[in-house]
Amino acid sequence: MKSRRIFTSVVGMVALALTATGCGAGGGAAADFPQKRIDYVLPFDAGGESDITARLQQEKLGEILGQTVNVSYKPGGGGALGWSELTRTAPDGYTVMGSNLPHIILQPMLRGDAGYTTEDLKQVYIFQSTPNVLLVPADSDIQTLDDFIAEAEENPGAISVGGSGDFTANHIGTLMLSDMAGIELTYTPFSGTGTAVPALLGGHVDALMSYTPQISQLGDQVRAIAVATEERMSSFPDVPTFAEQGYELADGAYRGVSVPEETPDEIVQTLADAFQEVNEDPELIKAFEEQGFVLENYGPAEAAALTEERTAVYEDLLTRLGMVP
Amino acid sequence: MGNIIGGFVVLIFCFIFWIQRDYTSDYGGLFPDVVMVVLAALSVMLIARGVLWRHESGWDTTGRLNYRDLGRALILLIAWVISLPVLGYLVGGILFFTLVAVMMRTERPTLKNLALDLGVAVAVVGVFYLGFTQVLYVTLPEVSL
Amino acid sequence: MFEALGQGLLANLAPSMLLLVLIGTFAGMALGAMPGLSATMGVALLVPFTFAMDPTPGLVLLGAFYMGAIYGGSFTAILVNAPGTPSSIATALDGYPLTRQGRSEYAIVGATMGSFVGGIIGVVALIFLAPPLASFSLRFGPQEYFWVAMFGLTIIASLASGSLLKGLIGGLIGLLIATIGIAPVGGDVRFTFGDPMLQGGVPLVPALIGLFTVPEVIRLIALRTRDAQMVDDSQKKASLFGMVKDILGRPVNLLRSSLIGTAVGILPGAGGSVANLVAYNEAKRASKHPETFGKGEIDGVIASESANNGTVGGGFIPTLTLGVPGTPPDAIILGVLLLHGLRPGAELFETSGSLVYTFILALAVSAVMMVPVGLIAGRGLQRGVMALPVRYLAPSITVLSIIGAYAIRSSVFDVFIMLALGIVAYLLQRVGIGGAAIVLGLVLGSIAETGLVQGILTSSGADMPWSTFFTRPISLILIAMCLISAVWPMVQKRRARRNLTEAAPAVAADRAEND
Repeated sequence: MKSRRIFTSVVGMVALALTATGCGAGGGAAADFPQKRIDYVLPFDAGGESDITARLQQEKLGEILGQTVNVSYKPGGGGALGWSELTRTAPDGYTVMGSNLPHIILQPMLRGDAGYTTEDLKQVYIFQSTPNVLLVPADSDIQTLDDFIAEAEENPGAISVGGSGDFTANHIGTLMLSDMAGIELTYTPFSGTGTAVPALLGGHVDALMSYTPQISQLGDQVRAIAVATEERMSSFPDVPTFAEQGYELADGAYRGVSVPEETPDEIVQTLADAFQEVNEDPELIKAFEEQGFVLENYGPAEAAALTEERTAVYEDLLTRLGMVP
Repeated sequence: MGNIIGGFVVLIFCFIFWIQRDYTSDYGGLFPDVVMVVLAALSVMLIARGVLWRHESGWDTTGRLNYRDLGRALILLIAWVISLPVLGYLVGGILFFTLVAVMMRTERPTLKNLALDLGVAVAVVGVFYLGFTQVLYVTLPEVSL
Repeated sequence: MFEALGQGLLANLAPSMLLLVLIGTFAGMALGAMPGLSATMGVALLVPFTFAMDPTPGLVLLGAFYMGAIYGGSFTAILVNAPGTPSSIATALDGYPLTRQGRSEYAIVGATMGSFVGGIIGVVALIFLAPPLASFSLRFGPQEYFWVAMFGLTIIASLASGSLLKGLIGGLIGLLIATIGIAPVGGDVRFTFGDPMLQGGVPLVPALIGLFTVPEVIRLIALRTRDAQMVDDSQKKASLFGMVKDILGRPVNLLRSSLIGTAVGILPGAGGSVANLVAYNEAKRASKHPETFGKGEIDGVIASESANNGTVGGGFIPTLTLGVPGTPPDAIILGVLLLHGLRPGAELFETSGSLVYTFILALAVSAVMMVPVGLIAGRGLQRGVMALPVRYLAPSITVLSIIGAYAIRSSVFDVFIMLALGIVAYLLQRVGIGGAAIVLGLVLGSIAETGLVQGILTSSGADMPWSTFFTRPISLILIAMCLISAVWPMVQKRRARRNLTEAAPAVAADRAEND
């Protein structure tokens, strides 16, 4: 008797699990989206800037969409692993993944097989950016961008510029600067901003191409000699732009979310509206500013246009440098 | 013999990596190339040792199993893991947990034993399943037939 | 400073704060005991909850949770040979052999007391020595990281119980596996066997479970119940008090390992995964009976666990004084500090002294609470595991291994990697190439390669970039340490052999007299 009862309960449990998963897949109609929990996947390790951002958005998103939002991680290959996985995920809008520019442009362009193409990802929304900034240690002789370029002209290749990883905004920013100024710099990639910063503070690299949040985070340990924005940033009025020192360099990393390419437009729009609403929340705006992020509002169409524009710029530069395989 | 076989296995391992060499950046190949060369040299030394010192068996005796036991364990584990994308964590877990538990009994299992093993399997696998998916929000592989 | 310290102490003695620390420590332990759920993931999961709290209790909860999670990793390492994080690799090396001898309770008590001392010493260093230690850590550049990794690799010389040649082969196999995926510097895609999934490389936690745990599971299942006894209860039960006293009676090991943990923890990027191995190696070198290591030596467990909890305090040194996170969980806590408008740096200790010291002291309180919580909950868990018949234990470990390998990035592919490495490790073990050396290579591979290539790139202004690896002062010290560490086991072995040959004639003489 006892054994039969256990057996029945097992069968019951299995049946329950089957129906639970079966039901979930059925409710994909765009009109009543979302019907169940949404997975917000980050293709990076826990603890980075994307993670902090996602954690800030998580609760607000859940309130707006009326479903819980769960943050999880799928790190590897500088994000490539997660993005190639996304192309194999059901296009039902229940999995949204963090996606960064220029990563999703440069990886497919420069790696033989990144596992995805830029067009495989449909960008839902770009909600923030971190512009590049060129930093030197506070005790460095280099005071201005002109000093920096003069020094690089004197010793071609001897100036080492650290940054976060390969094929990132820091990397391409360094390449763009040396291209515009006609100088030779040695770019040294570090695994993330966290390990690049001590290399600068310890004097192991001469300069750092980093992101603007570092200006406030590192305070008077460093000197910011140029920021890659069109105009000076309101939070750092004393830091000059590259443009006002003669180099039309305005670039950085853009953070947003993507879904698989075949996802229905209505679902994409629902998600985009939710992210937009989150971006209007005063508490979140304040938290973003404190972290040194720049708020951005690119909907699906605008994000695609931005991607196209940046792709052309990068392709031109990298083809000239002979880096495109 | 153990040394000779071990040496050749490592040499083949090196070879599999060596034929994939294809570096685009200046220093991308520096470290792996050094490692491969040293590893190959060491495995040649191991083979030479096996040839020169025949008296040294080269086999390690810890954890030695007979082939039938080993084969059965490997088949169970491999089947469990390979079926994961199809059966999912819960169903596959309960099925193979029960199988392993039953096969590890030395006496002939009775129906009562079978039910007990199944019960334990449901309890252990189920607790982990609920804990991860409901409390920690970690998704686990689901059934997809 | 002392005024702020006093305020911090008072704040920590409030019952609500003590309760918060207790909850954080316990939850951290529970999560840390799950392979595949790292301290980093746990702390990240907790962050949204702390948004609803004031900055001080929020940070205290996160800190206590982190401390508990690092300690919790020792349970699975000891009980089922599954180091859930790289920071408890060395714990498994001696902790699991102790379990197989039926002395798991002793190992758990050793890990608990070690973690407690390590945690406290790390916090003491954080309070009194943070600024000078932080600026010293900055002198470690790429070249130094390369030598730190090399120093870690010399541990192979003392790990290899049998042949040194086979130990080296194991280590190099690990280094080669570590090169799979995207190159850490330069971005080359290497050795992916044509599968884009391997771009991310061989993930560490599935590899650890595969190399350590799977061969054990194979052995347990294959042997069935006949002789697959996990527990040999012939050992006489020692009293808890006796065990605690015995472990605290090894102050030199506790202190040395904690200091190593704190010092290595300060280095961003090397942190916990290197600290426990270095402390283990030093404990073995200092030991009067190094041959017992790897066969169930409590000193090995103590060394590893004191060191990894020492990294908690150590890691916060660069985090709080420079704004450079020492470990991944530190990065999350740094983010939370910034969210509350608290900027790291020397002025943080002045302007928000009371908050900072409350947080730091809460880490110490958490370390103290680990003792009762660990001795009750940890020994409870140990009794539970030991009471399970092997035919349930073996599949339970498999279930845990599958979840552990899967959960780190929700990927079935990682479970395949785990099993494949496990089978390979079992077969290599048969020819005398142990899994521990492979793991060592795998953990240290990317640190070594990153240091090597970055060192060449950053010194591209020098005439011979190579030479900078041999001219920088700290590099020279590290090179000397590598040489000593590589040669020492041989000296130790020779000395032991000489003692043996000296003793042999004496025995013969004794017998002659008796005749």
